[in-house]
Amino acid sequence: MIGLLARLDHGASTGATPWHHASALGKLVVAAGLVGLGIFSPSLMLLGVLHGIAWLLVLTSGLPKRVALAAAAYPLVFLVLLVAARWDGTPATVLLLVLRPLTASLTAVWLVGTTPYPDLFAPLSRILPRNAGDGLFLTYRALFSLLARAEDLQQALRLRGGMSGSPRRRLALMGEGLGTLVVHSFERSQSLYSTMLLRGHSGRICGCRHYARMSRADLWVGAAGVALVAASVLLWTSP
Amino acid sequence: MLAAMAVPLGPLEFHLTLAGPVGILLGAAGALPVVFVVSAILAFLGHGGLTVIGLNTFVLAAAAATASAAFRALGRLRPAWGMALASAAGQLVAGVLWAGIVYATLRAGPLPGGARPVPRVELFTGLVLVLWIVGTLIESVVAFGIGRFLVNVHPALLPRAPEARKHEAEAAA
Repeated sequence: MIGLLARLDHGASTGATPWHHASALGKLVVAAGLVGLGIFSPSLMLLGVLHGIAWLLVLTSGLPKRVALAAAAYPLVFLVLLVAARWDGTPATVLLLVLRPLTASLTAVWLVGTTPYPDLFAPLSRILPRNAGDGLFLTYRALFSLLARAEDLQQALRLRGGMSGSPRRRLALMGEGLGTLVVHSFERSQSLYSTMLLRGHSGRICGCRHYARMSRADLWVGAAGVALVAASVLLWTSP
Repeated sequence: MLAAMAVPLGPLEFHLTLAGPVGILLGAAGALPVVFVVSAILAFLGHGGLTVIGLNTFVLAAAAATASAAFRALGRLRPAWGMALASAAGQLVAGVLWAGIVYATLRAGPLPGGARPVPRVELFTGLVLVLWIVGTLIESVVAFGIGRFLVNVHPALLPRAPEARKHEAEAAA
């Protein structure tokens, strides 16, 4: 997980495609439109076209294909269960059940893989309650060090024999290991908060404002939006 | 929660949620924004779905709130056992909520295009029940380990039972 997350984050910060230069706000609108149309689409053909657009967005985002595929394919495990429980024997049902969540996960990968997290969270934090908005920034900031620590912990447990013995012993030891993470997280949060207060924290984290700064690259986002609208108008009543 | 989810368990890569310990340590009100942030970040990674952030938050927050209340109710037990049982109670509530939501989805009307899927509730129940029991056991044992560690290393992080607080207040007075 940490490798996947780190690669997505790295891609978002260092990528040089037009999507990376476009404003976060425009991409959020297109992503919301794509996911919303995917959910409410009454037509399988339209859903297929929307899924194709999502793939096009991901493949042109400069993300390594393996990373994009690994991130987008996550819902498949649960989907197998859902399809098995709802299948009526027709391929159309399978496609309808599979394409909707996969379109949404591909769209999320495109959005996160082309937008640095301060730009992505800044518009969201303006509409979220303060706790949740600030939590997004602070959690993401601490996430990589905590994930690295979790992996170190897992390796240490394995090397010191914590992964041997009965499942009950192994899980209890893992719990104790996670206890060290809990204590570390509390102490880290306290020191971070003290640092923020010392530096004049006003009680609200405001993201940078360039999430809404438009550039020529936004024409590509506009084109994607036009493609979505055109596909919807043309195919809404198709089978 | 996110760090715990990075530790895969077994060949099926079961991931812990730690909703119970989070609810116990932070309280129901404190756990809600935490659960929302975790669900949102996971959804942005394609883990969990953008459209179900609210649903995931609701289910995990219910688990956290139940565990918090259960831990306080089990105040006479040792904290490690209290944490394990309270986490199990949280998982029970989360499992029931989640199953209810999925059953409602399975029984929902026809799909777009007129397809009428046949819900196989028995198949789903069989698979999910086994996974849910295993998941509850794993979460409870891990919560026990966390509780045992915190009691020995940093007991101040654990919420105290109402009786203990009352005794402390009386002693201070």
